[in-house]
Amino acid sequence: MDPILEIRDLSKRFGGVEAVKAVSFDVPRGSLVGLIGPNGAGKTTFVNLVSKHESPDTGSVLLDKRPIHRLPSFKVARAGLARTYQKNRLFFEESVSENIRTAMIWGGAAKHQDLSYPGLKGKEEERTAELMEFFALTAQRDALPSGLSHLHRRRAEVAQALALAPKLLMLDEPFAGFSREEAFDLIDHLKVCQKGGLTMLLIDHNMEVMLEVCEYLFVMHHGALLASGTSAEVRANPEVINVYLGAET
Amino acid sequence: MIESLLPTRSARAIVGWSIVAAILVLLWVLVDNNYYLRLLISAGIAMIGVIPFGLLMGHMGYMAMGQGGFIGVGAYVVGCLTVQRFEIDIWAALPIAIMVVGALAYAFSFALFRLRGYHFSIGTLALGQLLYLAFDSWEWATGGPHGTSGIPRPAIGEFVFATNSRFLIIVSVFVFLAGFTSWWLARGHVGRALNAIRQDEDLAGARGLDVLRYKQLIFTFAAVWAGLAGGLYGSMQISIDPSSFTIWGSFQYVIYVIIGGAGTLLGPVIGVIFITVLDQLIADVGVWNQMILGALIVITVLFFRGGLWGGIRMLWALALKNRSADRSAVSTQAGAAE
Amino acid sequence: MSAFAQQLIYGTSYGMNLAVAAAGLALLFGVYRVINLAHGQLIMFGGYIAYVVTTGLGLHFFVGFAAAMVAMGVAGVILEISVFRILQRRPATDQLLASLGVYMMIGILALRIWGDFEARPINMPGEEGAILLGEDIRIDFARIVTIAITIAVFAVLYFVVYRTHLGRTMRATAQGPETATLMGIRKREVAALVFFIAGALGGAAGAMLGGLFNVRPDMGFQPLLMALIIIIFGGMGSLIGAIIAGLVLGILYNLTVFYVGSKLGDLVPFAVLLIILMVRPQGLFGLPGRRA
Ligand SMILES: Nc1ncnc2c1ncn2[C@@H]1O[C@H](COP(=O)(O)OP(=O)(O)OP(=O)(O)O)[C@@H](O)[C@H]1O
Ligand SMILES: [Mg+2]
Repeated sequence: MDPILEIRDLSKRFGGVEAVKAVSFDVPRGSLVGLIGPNGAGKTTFVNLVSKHESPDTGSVLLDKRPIHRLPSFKVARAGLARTYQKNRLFFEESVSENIRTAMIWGGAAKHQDLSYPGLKGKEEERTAELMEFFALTAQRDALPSGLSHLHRRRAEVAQALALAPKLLMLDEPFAGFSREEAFDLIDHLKVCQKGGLTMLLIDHNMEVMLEVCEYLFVMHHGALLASGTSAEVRANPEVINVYLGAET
Repeated sequence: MIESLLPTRSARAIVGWSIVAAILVLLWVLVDNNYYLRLLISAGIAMIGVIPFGLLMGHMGYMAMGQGGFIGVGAYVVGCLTVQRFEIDIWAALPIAIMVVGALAYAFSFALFRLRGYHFSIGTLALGQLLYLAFDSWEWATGGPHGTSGIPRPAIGEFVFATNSRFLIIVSVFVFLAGFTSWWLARGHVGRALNAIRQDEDLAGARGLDVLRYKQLIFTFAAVWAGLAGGLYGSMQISIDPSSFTIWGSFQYVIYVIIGGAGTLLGPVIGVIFITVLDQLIADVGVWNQMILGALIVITVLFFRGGLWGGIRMLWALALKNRSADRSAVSTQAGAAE
Repeated sequence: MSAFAQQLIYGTSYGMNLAVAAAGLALLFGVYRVINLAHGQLIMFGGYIAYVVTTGLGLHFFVGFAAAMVAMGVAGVILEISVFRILQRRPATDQLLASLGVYMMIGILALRIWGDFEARPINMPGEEGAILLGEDIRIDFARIVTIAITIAVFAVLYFVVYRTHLGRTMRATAQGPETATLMGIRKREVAALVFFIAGALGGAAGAMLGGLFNVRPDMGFQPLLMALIIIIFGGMGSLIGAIIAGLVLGILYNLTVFYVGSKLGDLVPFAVLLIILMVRPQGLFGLPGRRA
């Protein structure tokens, strides 16, 4: 296996809460892996640690063998790791196209030759146009985020993250509030990007969708990694059933 | 019309800020009263400090409450170099003062920008108060509570800017420069970065912006201009003492920006003009003017977040809309007549 | 040695008064993430009310103290209704600015009513008396009274916050507005009560500071700055932090003033604050990572 992301012994404590406890795992290049766990399991904190919104107490993160856990967040982003947010975030005073272009300007030209998903080639305007077309946002190009539907806002956010031309994209509950059809529509888009070489780490509460879509799953509980495996393995794991699946049924 | 005469945006900015500066100078032709001249100079000096400060507070959303300290450092470095300890020419002292203030602000920016929101405001407030207390106690450099006196006016060759009307010319030139450099920074890349930082700086970082560098840049930029304003203030006053550089001086800047209109370049200018005029109009009511000013701040923050300039622009937009509505009504009538 | 002990006692009583002043700010910040700069003027106004009631009307200090608390509590409620309620969900700068405007207004009001910078004393119980410890350590009764009041105030505050239904709802609101709404809290009444308590704490601080020193129109400024420093030092929103930070600052202040000089004494709190902000921005008892 050729890992694109290697997490080693990552921990973070907030006062008395151990939000992330000595988590270690690898993400294979080009894969679509899932991270699941009940509310408060530490998934969002994990993403924050990797993207350096928060500094880990201990542990290391390697992106393509390069340590990124000491870099500031903007360098992590420029190194090729993009993320989206559980609570949708866009620059609320900027139009959709400006939001996408802004990330493109700051991220710089696409540097990774082996990638080939939409929005990588050409000048900024062409890249922006291509991304908006890909996500069917062209009609909304001049709309402000507040004027978008929930679906379009999500898409705009993913498009903005992809504007950085990342190797690895972490999506924190992108399907929240989506119907099954809408979720699969976004997944179809993401799968196109995966074919173009993008690696993805997906977080969501919708177990049905996650088990169906992700090639490999990691389960967090109380900040620690509880289990990992293919969806069949995770589905059969008694501990996972106990803390998570059991609770739902 | 304007577009065809001045095709580039920078040409328009140069002309625009020249007009602001020219109005200041021209007002001097109208008023030969020394009192009003000093008022104009004070307003000009305030603009020099507050236009760049508007980028920090309005565009970037970081409300520093210690600019009074930087004004003071500028004034005292000039005072110390020209009379208190040395006898350097003021033209040399001013750049040194700017560099000292810039270095100080840059050094503190590392610590201050670990803070956000309230913490940042209170941190800068503490820095301002610390500097004020330093002015009061470091007698060697500042003269302590008695201050420094005898700060000279600048001169070019034989031509000394000694009278207030001459001094106003220097101040106006710097108003132009402060306005133009602020405009130059606020457009393009830096402006985009500042707006993004105000909207969501974590997101900006996650999208590849070196947030800290831009914050430090703007903080230092605003401090440098505040330092220059301080140096000119010292030269205008001839003598200075710590009471001019208290926290109230810092609050004054904040008030200019909020009343004039935060997030715009002209807002702070209008804030300075408005409050200078207001101070004159309500001077007779004695201490009540502070009360009126306080009420104005509360009302602006509560109900008119755009400030005066925001209000003017809104009325302007309304007027334009009405006019175009009239015109389209006329043209449809004309069409119907045909 | 005895001079040191003497300064320690002065510092303790001053620090405890500051802690009361800071507790009001800490409470508002803890529950509503609001910083109310006008708190400084509530302290000042509270001092004047205590002065009017005790020195003016000749009533007992405790009556003046209670009057200051009630009046400033009501002032706090008025501020909540007229200003802070409208500013919910606005950025931090807006609340600072609006409360700065209110600060200016109240300041002028006091200046108009009571005139210029004439220092006015408040009659404290046991003004002349003092306990002598050993040879030359002197503890005046006035200071003992303020220390006792402070302890009582904090005991009541602790009881309210940790042992009553109101306290529970306050702490739930502090956890996040969502939790509070889930618990079915009537938000307006709670807000009014919290602002009442915060204002009353300001009034109490004003009455005590006015008793120890004098009542002056600008007497709210220094305690406001100190209180801001204290709540950052102690961790914004933490009551325990406010007490400990208040004591540390009060003692440190008095010792530097005595041993090094009053100018450096004034510098100390701000230097402490800048160091704290650099080393531990969340303060002594604040949670790391939860940046305001
Ligand atoms: N900044 C913070 N300060 C204090 N505690 C925090 C902070 N961020 C997260 N926590 C705590 O850490 C734990 C993990 O939270 P996190 O948001 O990472 O969980 P999650 O798995 O994303 O949950 P959800 O499915 O609800 O999104 C929770 O107990 C939370 O209260
Ligand atoms: Mg989460």
